[in-house]
Amino acid sequence: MKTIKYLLLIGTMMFTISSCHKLTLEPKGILDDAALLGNATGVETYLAGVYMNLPIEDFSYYVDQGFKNGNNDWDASKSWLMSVDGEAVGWPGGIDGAGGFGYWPYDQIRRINTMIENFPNYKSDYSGDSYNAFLGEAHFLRAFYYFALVKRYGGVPIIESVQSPTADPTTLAVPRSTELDVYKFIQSDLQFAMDNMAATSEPGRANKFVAAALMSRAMLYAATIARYGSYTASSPDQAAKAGYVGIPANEAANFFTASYDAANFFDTQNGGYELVGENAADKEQNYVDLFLNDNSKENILIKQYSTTSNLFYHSYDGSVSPAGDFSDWPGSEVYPSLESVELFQRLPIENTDGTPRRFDNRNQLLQGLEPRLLATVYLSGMTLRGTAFDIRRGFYRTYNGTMADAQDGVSSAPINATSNRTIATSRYQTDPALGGGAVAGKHGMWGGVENNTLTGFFIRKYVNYKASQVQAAGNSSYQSWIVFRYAEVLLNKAEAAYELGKKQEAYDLIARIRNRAGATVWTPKGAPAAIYVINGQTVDENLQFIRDERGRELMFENHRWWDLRRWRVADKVLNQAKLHGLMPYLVLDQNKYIFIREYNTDGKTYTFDVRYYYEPIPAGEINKNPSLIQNPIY
Amino acid sequence: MKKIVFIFSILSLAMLASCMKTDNYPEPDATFSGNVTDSVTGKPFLTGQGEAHIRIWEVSYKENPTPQDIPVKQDGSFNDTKLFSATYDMQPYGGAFWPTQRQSAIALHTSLQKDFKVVPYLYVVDVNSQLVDTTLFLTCRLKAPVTENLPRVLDIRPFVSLTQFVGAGSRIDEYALDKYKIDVNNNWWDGVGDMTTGEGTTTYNLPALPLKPGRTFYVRIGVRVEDTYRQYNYSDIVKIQVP
Repeated sequence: MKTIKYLLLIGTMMFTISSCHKLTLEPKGILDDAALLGNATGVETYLAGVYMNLPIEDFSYYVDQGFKNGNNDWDASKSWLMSVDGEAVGWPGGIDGAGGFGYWPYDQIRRINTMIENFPNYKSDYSGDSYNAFLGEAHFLRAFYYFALVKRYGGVPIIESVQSPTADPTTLAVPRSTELDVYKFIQSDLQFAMDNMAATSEPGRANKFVAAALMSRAMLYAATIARYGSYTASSPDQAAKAGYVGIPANEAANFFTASYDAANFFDTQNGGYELVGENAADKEQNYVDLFLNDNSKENILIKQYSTTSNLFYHSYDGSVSPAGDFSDWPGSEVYPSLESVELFQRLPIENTDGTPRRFDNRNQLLQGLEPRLLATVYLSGMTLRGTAFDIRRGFYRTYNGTMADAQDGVSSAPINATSNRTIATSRYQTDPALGGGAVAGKHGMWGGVENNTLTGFFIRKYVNYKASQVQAAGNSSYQSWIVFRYAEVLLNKAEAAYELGKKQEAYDLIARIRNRAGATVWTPKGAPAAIYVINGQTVDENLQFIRDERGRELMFENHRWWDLRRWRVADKVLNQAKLHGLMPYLVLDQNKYIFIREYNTDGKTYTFDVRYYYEPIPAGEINKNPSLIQNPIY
Repeated sequence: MKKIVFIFSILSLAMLASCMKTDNYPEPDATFSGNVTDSVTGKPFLTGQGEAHIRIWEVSYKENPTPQDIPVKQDGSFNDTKLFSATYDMQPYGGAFWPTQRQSAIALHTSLQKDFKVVPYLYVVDVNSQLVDTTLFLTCRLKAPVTENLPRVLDIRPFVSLTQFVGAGSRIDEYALDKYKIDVNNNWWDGVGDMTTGEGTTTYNLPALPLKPGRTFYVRIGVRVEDTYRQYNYSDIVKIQVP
């Protein structure tokens, strides 16, 4: 008993006395500043989180929901940018999602600011240039976030230091900066990045040329908004008056020069990037493979997905080719418009007298088309994964008339009377006139968005043709998204050069792009006519061609929406626009094929409101911070 | 056993009862109604269902509040019976009329009847409809109450419906095809109309509209200018009975 007493006494004393030891040790489970910022591995870990949330509009970008991080986003194709900007037709019933999704990534910006603020304390831990390189990378990433904000909202609050949650609330409610100041802030961050970062980096991470690529893009956006945007300080709207939207016109030249110089940076600093395949024998195959090669010398920054981690994947292959013959699920959801296809060239489907040209088979149309077009879009007769695309709208018993007689395919046109034309309304519809054969082709078109084309075309760009039909399924595509590629830098340079009056240089750059694409040689007009007059500025034929070249080269790469916006032509291009398709028909009495230009089988109308040139500041943010002033017309 | 079931059912009822909260705020019960009239002619402003709005800001709630839009009906009237009694700023907004001034600090107490005056961009006048068999031929002319700085005239288009609620939001899509519209795409001073009298120079013959026999159609003509909202100024509605 006594022993127990002593034991208890000793035990209690051990416990109580030991508690006098003060716990001032750093907890081992938490990574603090020193662990994260004091060594290279730590910084890379820290920045990986920032990269993870980087606003890259990739395969999994939803117009109405925003950025996803490569998980179960198999239905992203129902909300892709390309299906609201006129490049393609899909699920959206017009311009859906132009009001944005309330993007407000100040949590991410705070992470970067935390690093920029505390990193100098650990300068002595780094040797040579690596300290500067990391600091430059942080500035690049911050600029990337601010660019994603400014292109949506115009001016936003510039937060460049870490705000304390206990600070005076009035200092925390930061008002918007002007659109001009935000672009200047991006410019200075990127200039810092270009001055301090290394020339090369592992794939998926930034280097000084990646910063230069973003610089050339962002400055071009600022320049065109300054030149073609109509909001000025004398506009009646509150946000315009304060400069939150609109950039003074006299800044245009500075920004064009900045964009041009950033593109020049690749030459003066020997970036080693190339326009791949300028001398390729097979220009079509070269262009197809361009988007499937992580090690291509044209890639400036890619976003990778991984077959091993089972974390990062997308659903591109399953979403652009119809299920069954080409893919597994979810099946094709989005189809290039005829307007996109004829941006490349007017298709040779009409005779000189206006009648539709007769074809023995549908493949004949493919002859003589631009290789880049064929590498961007699948037409009927082309082959993927061992199967040829078979697209047919129906048949005419006879066709005595011109293309115009079809009146865009409306059923009220005399030649389209049901006694003469039969179109498929369901997949397996047969007809005695065809000996009981199917009216439509195997891959369209019978109406309805899924698994059969609305326009007569399917997307080819980025399609991984090496994947099998089973692999081409939702959540199992892994090709990288190319965030910046050298062709875009050259196109940025060409546009900036033309706007700065260096016209010959612009023409030479366009010639290079077109040569690689296998396109015909373009002869600029000596006295170009005006296509648009926007904000008092004339857009002539030659400039329009340079812009269209951008539309062709960067088609389906999520540029078009932003380009139409910054050129301030979206409300003209998408003004009650009804997109067309190219419908193959069999003419029974001649047993030949004709192609008719028609409205796509979904018949939607696209109208871009002037207010969409800026997205509304999220209402929740205005509630939290009353000093934020809403954009015009919301 | 029965007892346990009974106790548990009572207990769960009691727990669920705690989910109910009584909303102790008064419901919005103020009514705001009125008409939008054309300040030039004094007649109701012709528009389509919800193609113009009265925008109100509840300024007594806070500075810089989120605006609410009250849709204007086809005959220019509007009516909202679920508003809070408060002080509002108001402005006719988003329709086919010249920009208006925001009227500040208007008190809405239980009910308010208020009319707004606007100046339409254009009138569609001299509308003439002629039915030959089942084909409808429409002609019209434009007139502008204010010609100085009038935005570019875009297009003229017919609207056809089987109900009297005809407009851009209620129409038969077949007649909304581009082949039935006329593209004007010109400034008033570039030959569309006279700058001083405001009379349009051209009598427009709209493309023939094939109608279906045995039905009654409601038809009106709309014209747009290139302003921010691009809504239509309409003619009066014509009732067409196809024999």
